Amino acid sequence: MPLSVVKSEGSSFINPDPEERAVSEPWILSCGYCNWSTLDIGWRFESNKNMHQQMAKLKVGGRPRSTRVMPTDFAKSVGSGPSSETESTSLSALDNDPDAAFAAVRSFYSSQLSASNPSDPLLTPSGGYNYSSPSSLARIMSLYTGRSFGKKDTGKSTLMRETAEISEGLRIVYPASDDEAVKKLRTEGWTGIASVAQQAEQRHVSRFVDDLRPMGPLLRTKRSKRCRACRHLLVRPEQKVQSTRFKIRLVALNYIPTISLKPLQPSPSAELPLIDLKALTPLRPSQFLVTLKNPLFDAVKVTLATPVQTPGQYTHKVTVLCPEFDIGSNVDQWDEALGDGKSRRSSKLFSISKVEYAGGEGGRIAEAGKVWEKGRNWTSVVVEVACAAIAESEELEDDIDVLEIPMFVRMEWEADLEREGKDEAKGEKKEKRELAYWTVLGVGRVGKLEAASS
Amino acid sequence: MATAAGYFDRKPPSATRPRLSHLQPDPSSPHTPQRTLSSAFNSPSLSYRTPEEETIIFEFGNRHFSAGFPGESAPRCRLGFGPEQSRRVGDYKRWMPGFGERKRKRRRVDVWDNDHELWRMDVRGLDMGLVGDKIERAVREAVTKHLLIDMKGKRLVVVLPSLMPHPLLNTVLGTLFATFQSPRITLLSSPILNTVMAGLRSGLVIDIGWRETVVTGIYEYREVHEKRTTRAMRMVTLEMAMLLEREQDKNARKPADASKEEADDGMVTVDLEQAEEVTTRMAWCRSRSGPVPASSTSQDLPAQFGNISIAEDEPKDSTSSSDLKGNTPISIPLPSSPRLNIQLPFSALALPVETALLGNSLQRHQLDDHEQPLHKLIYQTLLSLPPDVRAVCMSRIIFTGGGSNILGLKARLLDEVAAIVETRGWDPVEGKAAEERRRRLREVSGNRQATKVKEVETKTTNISMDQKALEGNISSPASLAPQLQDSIEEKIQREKDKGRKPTVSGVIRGVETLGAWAGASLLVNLRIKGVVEIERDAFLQHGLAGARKDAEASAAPQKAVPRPNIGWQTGWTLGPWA
Repeated sequence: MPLSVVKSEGSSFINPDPEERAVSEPWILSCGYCNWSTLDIGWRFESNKNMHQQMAKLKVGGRPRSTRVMPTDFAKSVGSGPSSETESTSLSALDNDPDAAFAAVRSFYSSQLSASNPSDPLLTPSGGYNYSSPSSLARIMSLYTGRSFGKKDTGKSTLMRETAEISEGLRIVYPASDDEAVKKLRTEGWTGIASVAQQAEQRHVSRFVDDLRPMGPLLRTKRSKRCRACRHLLVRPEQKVQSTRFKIRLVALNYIPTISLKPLQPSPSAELPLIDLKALTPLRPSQFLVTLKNPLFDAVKVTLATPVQTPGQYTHKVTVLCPEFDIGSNVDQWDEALGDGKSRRSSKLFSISKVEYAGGEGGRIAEAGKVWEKGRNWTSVVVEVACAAIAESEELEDDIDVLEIPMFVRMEWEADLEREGKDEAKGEKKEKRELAYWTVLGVGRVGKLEAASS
Repeated sequence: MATAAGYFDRKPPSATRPRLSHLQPDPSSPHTPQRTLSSAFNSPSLSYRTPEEETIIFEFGNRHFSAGFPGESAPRCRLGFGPEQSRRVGDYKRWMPGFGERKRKRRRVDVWDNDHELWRMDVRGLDMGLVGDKIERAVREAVTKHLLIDMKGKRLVVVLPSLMPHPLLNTVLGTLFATFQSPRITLLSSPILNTVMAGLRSGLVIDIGWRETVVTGIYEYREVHEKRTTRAMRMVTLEMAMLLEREQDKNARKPADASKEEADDGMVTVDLEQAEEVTTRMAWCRSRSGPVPASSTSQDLPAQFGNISIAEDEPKDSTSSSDLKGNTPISIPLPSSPRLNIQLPFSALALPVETALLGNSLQRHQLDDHEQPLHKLIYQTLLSLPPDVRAVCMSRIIFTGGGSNILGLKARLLDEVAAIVETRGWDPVEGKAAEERRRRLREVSGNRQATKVKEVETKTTNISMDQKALEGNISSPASLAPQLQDSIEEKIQREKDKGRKPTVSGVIRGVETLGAWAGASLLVNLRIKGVVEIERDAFLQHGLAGARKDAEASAAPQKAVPRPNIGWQTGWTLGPWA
């Protein structure tokens, strides 16, 4: 839920106590939907700028985060368990704050690193061994002979030691450390505990709803996209923040044909049940009209291919009756209107909503190798599908009855280079191009066998 | 002067005594060239990041993927691999009214979570292309939505489990190199990083993951031993699902039907999401010191599986674990319809964890090697370590993984291990025969001790010192004789320990860690080079086969003894992953 930064005077009803209002800083975050505001967790901000940094300094509960360090030596008190109250409190304070623990370990390591090899004489700054210096030779020898006995040790241990105190980031698991949380778990119940989705949003593990922190919204970026094969820029937005336009915008839809599919209903005279996309009749061929619409300005030769049987648990048989055909170019509609009568005859626009019947309109039936219908820049062909019967049983996966046809589309065309404004190919005005890709046609669901027979 | 200058000019630099200049940074020696990024392809966001942050850290787990920047204590995002990722285009039924109340399909237990995993360690039947695509999508989402940077030219640090099948490793690296154009990938292994993040050099890392729990002994940043068990969060979640299902059935139908056995037919109705939600929110683990019921209820468990009725056990439960752990009824949304609630006693929510991870009710001979309960596995791992390593590791037990978030589990496991150690000591032999033998030995030695003492008493008066010493040697073996004090060695030891903190060893102790991702973030921030660094060109040319077979390479971050990186020009190594 987006929070907005508001002046806390405006929300004084949340905080009726005038004394408290007086001390509060002017800015809070508040939710426009549920009247929640950061006053509930005691957060007030000094300004409405740089909220991220201000929030990073705050802890849930309103106190500023502090890396309070207890000078307790845990190495000594181990085995005897938690000996005093202070230890456990400081431990829990650190426990709840992974940032502090991380910072402690990091500072420990960096101090150790600089102490153990101040400027490591073994290594040249560029990282290689330096064998010619006598001191490094001595070091190398001491590496192999062992430093601990015999050789005099200069007092400074060359090995990094490990953390030994809580100030160095060592955090011990205490048997009782979870008891508090378990107690809280029992009293708070289901609603007091953050859900998986809520916890996923948080940076650190926060089990209870009280521990949840407001998170900054994710920003959006404008980014250009490249072809993963040839690294050609496909999309490149304009740099200006306000602008929503693109410098380069090569969208696939402008190059590949739009494919649509609708049932080719059996002729009314045949007295067959109509094709219902939500319950396709199994074990009986159903015909579909696949229409490809060409976005290019050149006529395209298309080859369709499908696997004979769809992949998956149930294999449906698919046949494309006319796998090879041409689609007209996407030239201006006026060309077509002013053109000869032949093209005008087939100029009726393709519409997906119109119901098509086989055998209607002069008794046409789908024939192998023949295009069903053709328009200015579109062509329809018939695909025949015989669905397998899906046995009814309880253990079916969800959506196993969905009929999807994988289809390989290959198109060839002769691009007109002049139109594209490429001057380099003066001699040839046409260039043969080819494009091929796999796609999936979602058809519908296969009905139950019983329903079909009754 | 002119001649002298000319003389020095003429004299070639001696080969035996090179000039001091070689101590200066040598431009010809191997080093990372400063990359110059062409500004045309940069996203403008680059400008506010300093160059040292040009590394991105990824962590791949079984079910989650984390990504973020070095120097931060937590990843910027943690993405899951749910079925939501493979939703069909235009499939919005999740948001349809009534989706929550839909009839759940019953699923076989072994394929229950297949949609939710990125990979399985068992790569048979795993579609590597699909894994690669899932990785690619996750990385893309992380980078474009959460990290908001351009991947181009960024070095990657990838945190992986220390044991990876090569096909999976190949898929991960191949996807990252081919799709995301990163020039170099450094692999780091998660148990080591957990140890580093805990601030330790050695430790026993217990990674309670999804499919399996891996117990790894780390000594001086090296993995020295590893054991696994299938008792992990998957089992916990499954147990939770079973629990919810039983409750649901109890709500739904008459008690007469409830006798129908259903719990162990290998089918689950409850979705993984629901079971996981309940597990993440409510699962907890009772402490060992708590009331005896901990063991009594779990002994009842087989009976429960027989006749499903956890309800009948609840009164018993409530009487035994009365006030301390409490039986406050917790209402949980019913899995089949979220608007209804079911009431579960609070203690019942601890059962799945204890059944799955601790498996108290089962005897050792009932369990296979791959399904040892966690505390026994920890003990076994410690047992198989050399004694001095064991002493160091046992007081540095590090819990990590999703399961370590279960409240009370760490303390419980530590207690259990301590209890085993107390009863058994560090004796690898166990069983009835061993007990018998031990008892007999004890008797024999007791008898012998007694007789010896008598003999000594009688002979003391007229036996010389030498003979007495001889006698003493015969009576007690040398291994039992007290160590002779060596004053010089003591002195040396004292000198050596002067500037040193005492290391804790020999007691069972747990240490917290922030996790492998944070460890990687720390290491990269400290500019520590990894052993396994893979260059893009080398990988794309030869694949994994191009790796040097380097037996001595280890995953140890080069810290204590800086390893010369002479090797990396001649080839790269896969280190522990080879």
